[in-house]
Amino acid sequence: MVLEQIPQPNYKKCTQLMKKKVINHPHEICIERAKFFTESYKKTKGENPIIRFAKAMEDLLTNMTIVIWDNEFIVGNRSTKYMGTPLYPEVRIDTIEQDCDSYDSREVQKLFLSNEERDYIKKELIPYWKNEDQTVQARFQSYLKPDIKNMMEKLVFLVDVELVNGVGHFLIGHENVFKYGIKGLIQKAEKRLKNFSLEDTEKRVFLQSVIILCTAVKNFIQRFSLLAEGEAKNEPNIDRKKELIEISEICRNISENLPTSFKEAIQLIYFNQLICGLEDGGFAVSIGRLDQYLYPYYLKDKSEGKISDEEVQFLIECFYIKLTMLWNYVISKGIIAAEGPPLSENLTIGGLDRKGNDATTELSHIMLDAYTHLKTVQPTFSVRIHEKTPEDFIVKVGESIKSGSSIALFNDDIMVKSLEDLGFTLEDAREYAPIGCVEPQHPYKSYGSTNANQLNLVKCLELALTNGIDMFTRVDYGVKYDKEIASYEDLWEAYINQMKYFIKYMVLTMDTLDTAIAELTPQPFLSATTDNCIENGLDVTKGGAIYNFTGAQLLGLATVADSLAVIKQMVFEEKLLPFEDLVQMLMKNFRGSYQGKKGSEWRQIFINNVPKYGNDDDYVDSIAVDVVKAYCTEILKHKNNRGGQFNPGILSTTFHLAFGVFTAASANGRKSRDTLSNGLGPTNGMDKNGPTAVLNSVKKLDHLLISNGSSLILAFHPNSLIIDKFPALIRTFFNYNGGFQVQFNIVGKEILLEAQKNPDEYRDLVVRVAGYSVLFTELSKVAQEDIINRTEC
Amino acid sequence: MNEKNLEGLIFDIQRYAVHDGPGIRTLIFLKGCPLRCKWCQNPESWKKTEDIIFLEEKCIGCKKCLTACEHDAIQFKKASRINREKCVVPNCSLSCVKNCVAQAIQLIGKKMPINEILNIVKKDALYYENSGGGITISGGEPFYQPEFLADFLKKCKDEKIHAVIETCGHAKWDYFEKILPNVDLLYYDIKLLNSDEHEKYTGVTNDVILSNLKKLVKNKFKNIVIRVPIVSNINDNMNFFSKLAELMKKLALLEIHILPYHRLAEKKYERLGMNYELKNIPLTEKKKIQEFKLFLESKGLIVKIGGG
Repeated sequence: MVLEQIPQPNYKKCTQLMKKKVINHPHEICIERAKFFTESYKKTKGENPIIRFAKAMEDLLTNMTIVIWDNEFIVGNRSTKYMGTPLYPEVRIDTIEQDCDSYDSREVQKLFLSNEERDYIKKELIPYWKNEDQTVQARFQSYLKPDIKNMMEKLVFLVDVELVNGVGHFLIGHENVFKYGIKGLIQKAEKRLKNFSLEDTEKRVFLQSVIILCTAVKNFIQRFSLLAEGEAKNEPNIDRKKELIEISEICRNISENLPTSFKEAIQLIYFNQLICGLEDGGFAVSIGRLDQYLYPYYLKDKSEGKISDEEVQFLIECFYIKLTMLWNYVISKGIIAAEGPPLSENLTIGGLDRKGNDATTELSHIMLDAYTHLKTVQPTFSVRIHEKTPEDFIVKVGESIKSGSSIALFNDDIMVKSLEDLGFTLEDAREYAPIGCVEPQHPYKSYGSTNANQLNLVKCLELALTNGIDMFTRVDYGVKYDKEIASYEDLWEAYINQMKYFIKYMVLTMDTLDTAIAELTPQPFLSATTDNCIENGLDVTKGGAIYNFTGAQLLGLATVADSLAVIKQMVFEEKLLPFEDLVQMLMKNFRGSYQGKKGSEWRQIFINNVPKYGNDDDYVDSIAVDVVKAYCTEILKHKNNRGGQFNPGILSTTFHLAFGVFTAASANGRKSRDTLSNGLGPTNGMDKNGPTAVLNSVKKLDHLLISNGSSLILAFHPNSLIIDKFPALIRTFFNYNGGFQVQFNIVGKEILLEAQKNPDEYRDLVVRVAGYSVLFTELSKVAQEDIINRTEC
Repeated sequence: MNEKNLEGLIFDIQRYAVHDGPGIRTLIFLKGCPLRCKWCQNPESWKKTEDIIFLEEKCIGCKKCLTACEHDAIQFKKASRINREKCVVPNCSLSCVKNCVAQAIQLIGKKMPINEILNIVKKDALYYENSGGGITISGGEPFYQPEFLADFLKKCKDEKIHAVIETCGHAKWDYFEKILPNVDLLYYDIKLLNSDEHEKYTGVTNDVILSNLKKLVKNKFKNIVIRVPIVSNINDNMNFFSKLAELMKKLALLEIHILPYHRLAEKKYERLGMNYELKNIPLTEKKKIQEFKLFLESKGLIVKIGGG
């Protein structure tokens, strides 16, 4: 046998197979975490709640079943099942009780579990935690003052994201773990503990929780080292045996020490993600600037000839697959509004370094190539762009998007200034990374709870029109406006009053919840990786980080702006319709007759005769500018109970659908219960002038004020995304005081088929074919088929 | 100073056009055309005056148009609301359009002063600048509104906006001469080289078209791209392409765009109440189009399929 003829392992094929396995594997509930937590909490009854939490984590990490799945090189499991997800009963037990009979029978996002497991949940878990007054949900409810509770239940605003399975929406301080090592973090806490006197109970308790948890993490990683070593002994395949020995060595070293190689560094990052996801079951446990963290290790290994670019790409692809295996289940009630099972582990490449130089490297390219190749649902992939970003990098991003990758682009030139305005130092601002969808924070100096609140602005406008009465439920709960609304300015004032009123209640509700969270479910490991927590002796949930924020999202921007424009023009300027008639019409969902016209006709007039946001028309765009400015400045006035402030963002996840369901008809022609507009985007189907007009409208907003980030999705047919014109499109949107973020929906065949079935949803879909453009939904069936058939190539 | 602000009859303005000239462009469609190509994708461009169209899917059935029309030209029995034999648009008050709140009956063609068009064009100036784009004037046939065209191009030149014109070439030479200094690039259609066939399928012979093309070259205007719509059974044969290559070589023209015929305009004919003769003709196979491309390339030409 000639050795040279043995082919090199085909990395790409290998990762595609791994991806396939992950995607096709059914989702399961894993009860181990809940079991160890429950047993531990039973043992520690009466002890300090922070210590109880740390000990429960310790019991879990010491005893949970650990697995090295077939052929994997990056190891670590959060669940004992291949595609399992844990339960977090200490956060709330009510949703587990509501859902546990239907986990495996619900229509979408089915979750499987055995009968014994379900029995355990019903007979042990639910009875224990129901009697335990220490779930976050129970304590939150007990702390809520009646008037706040009453207002919260009106659902004008939501605080529920922090209560799903945990807070989530943070970045892990991976660079601190690289800097100190796990052992270093323990030593740091031990040293600091000596500085606090016995009276500083809270600080001592926190540092003890860090020591307990980090020690447990050390042991947890060492267990993997031993497991790999044991499996290596029994492994018949020589290549795999070598791999297992290498895994064992990697885990042994990083369980205590600083990582010394690319492989060790990426494995350690995965463990950090995993531990933080066991500590807190929230969404958007984000990674941050992976190309920056790993670059020194990449350079070192490359210069020593220890690793090739091909191996690096393989490891990164393995990492993406392992990220995809971390996911959260969504409660049945929340399926419409939740981010979906993927965790939204945001990963960022490119951008500026601390000094303001371009930080795009060959490793950024490899990470992009890996994502283009795999297109896994995780990580949530972000690219930071600034004036000096190399053209070839933007072109490569464009090619990846055109190939169907879901990538968001971020504008450093705006966000760095915006974060400085928020109180970041210039150097810190340059190091930002998006969390979850789009929310920028510092990777190891922030605790941002970036998707904590959502406010339904369309409901605020609805209540302004009726002087406080919900058109839907007819319940009177809004704030009163003591003047008659006789002009647009009056209406604006009434609307602002409602907005401020509900922001006030939102903040009060949030404070109550944050208090309960800080008392019961700390995040000692995350805190250990975050600057200043150990120094200050404070957990992140108590304000230990340097930068503290609570994200508060505006919902329904375009719906509100378009509706205000209609009322301004039709009622107050052209005086075609009395104000009272308009209110009646909306209450009746466009039924009835007004001034000799049917409501359905007025609706068409509202839709067709008044400019709509997203078409580069100043009449309505200026209203959108006002709406954004009023919201952001009001939000920024409010402090949170971690010593930071509320932080305005404009992103919807899918709350625009949920809010829509209980929001009455709007003056822009939106019918009762229909969806609200999404993020910064125009109302569906109302942008008639193409993407540059949408971008120009969006650019008019004051993006410096939207410091918790914003989301804009542009839908393109693949034929319309021309690679050599892509950098100009992006640069023109980003430069000259441009927007913060943009992502693309490249419309492929499935969407076109969907658009055929539900044309109303895809009215804005432009298909451009060589010198001839059409709205897809206005074409005949034959012509649509024609385009669909072309889409394949 | 030139105080004129001529009006053009425009039937569409499309921003972010990426298939009709370099960079990101705004496409301006002028109404009116001397040709009647059977495969025409923009039949709403033919007439020099406004048209109305009916979009069935938008109609909410309010019947306001029925009483509004003073010529009794609205019918509610058929899929189309407009009785084209009775309709006198634009020689009426256009009350059907004005009374249609759902915009199911729409006017095609709007008289727009140059300044108004320029204001729209300038909104994307930064995109042109960063991408090397500009405007493309299409139609219809741009030369069918010669004074407006000349003035508009002059104003664009003053604003340093790159201008492309898509022309069928069937226009007075004087018109060409007048605008050439203000045009950066001409997209020049050649549909058929046999004059009789040209007349059969487009309504006019190609004599003026070919003569203008030669004159352009003679006058040293070299920024010309030849555009050819490929329609099966009409010009999708090697004989045509080989003659065309010869002609281009003789004139030292280098670039050619092949635009495969598609059926997307069918609905437009319906909405205009017009008969679409090419309803059932097959599409030219991709393989065949590739063959033409390779052939033209072998003759030293730069070939793009679908424009650019």
